Amino acid sequence: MESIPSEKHYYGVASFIEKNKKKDLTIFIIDDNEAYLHLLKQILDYESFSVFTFTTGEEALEYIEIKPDLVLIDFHLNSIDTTALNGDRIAELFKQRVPGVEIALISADKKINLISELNNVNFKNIIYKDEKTIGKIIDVSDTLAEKKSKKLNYFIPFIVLLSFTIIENLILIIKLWN
Amino acid sequence: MNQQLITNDHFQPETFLSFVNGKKEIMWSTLKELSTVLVEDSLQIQKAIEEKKPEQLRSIAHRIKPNFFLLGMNEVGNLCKELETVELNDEGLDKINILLKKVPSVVQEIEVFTIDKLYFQL
Repeated sequence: MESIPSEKHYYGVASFIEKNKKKDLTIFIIDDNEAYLHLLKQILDYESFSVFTFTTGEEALEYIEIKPDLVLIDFHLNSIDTTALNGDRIAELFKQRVPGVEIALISADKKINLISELNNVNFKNIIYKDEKTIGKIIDVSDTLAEKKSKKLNYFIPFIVLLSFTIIENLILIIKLWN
Repeated sequence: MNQQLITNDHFQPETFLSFVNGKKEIMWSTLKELSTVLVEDSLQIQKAIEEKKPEQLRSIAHRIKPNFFLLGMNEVGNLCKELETVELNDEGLDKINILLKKVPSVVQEIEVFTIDKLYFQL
């Protein structure tokens, strides 16, 4: 019988995004499943986030100078390129080269033995390719987008008022000039 | 594996929508991506059979499995799960062929669904 990991594993990434909502995050997503890569990019394509997608970890490492804040990595990455390194190894390389980077593993596998294997490289965050997790990430992205939009709406009256004041002053200057 | 269950397993847009919190624009764009990806996956499976690479087949099965759960096609997803440990013997090849026969109809279902959506938007 398969053991399902506890809930704390599910929401690590969502919490990270929530905690960093005031920052412009750079996110790398690495997955050889192009449909899921596309799906996750769409979900995280929030205006203040820069999202980069890669089908292998090696390709992502070529862009390491961008210094991502968050890296989402699929565990099995060698189904297209059989020589490609798997997610645990790529995660180690990112941790060595980008100190402080937050790493989350993407997995379609909920078996606890996989989690135990992964514990050797200390993955705090694991995203399962399921409805619950994807939905939670969307919720967080939506909340951020909504807050950003409200913030912009708050400034609109001030911008309008300022524009009127500038125009009024310009008219006054032109009148005085004449 | 009951072939009838696979034949009767169809795309469930409601399941997909619940995955993406009802965001239709994400569903449409991912479906477009999926219809291309599924064809490519199918070709990769055929290549792995021709080259007698069971390890690669298992790896592809693992990769594509969540796509079918996303489409609400749990029986096909479970077939992929079985293929994660497949051997290239008669039994294994039968299971692979069931999947290969199913993929074109899945792509067709997605295409019909997206064309209908475009039609109703006009």
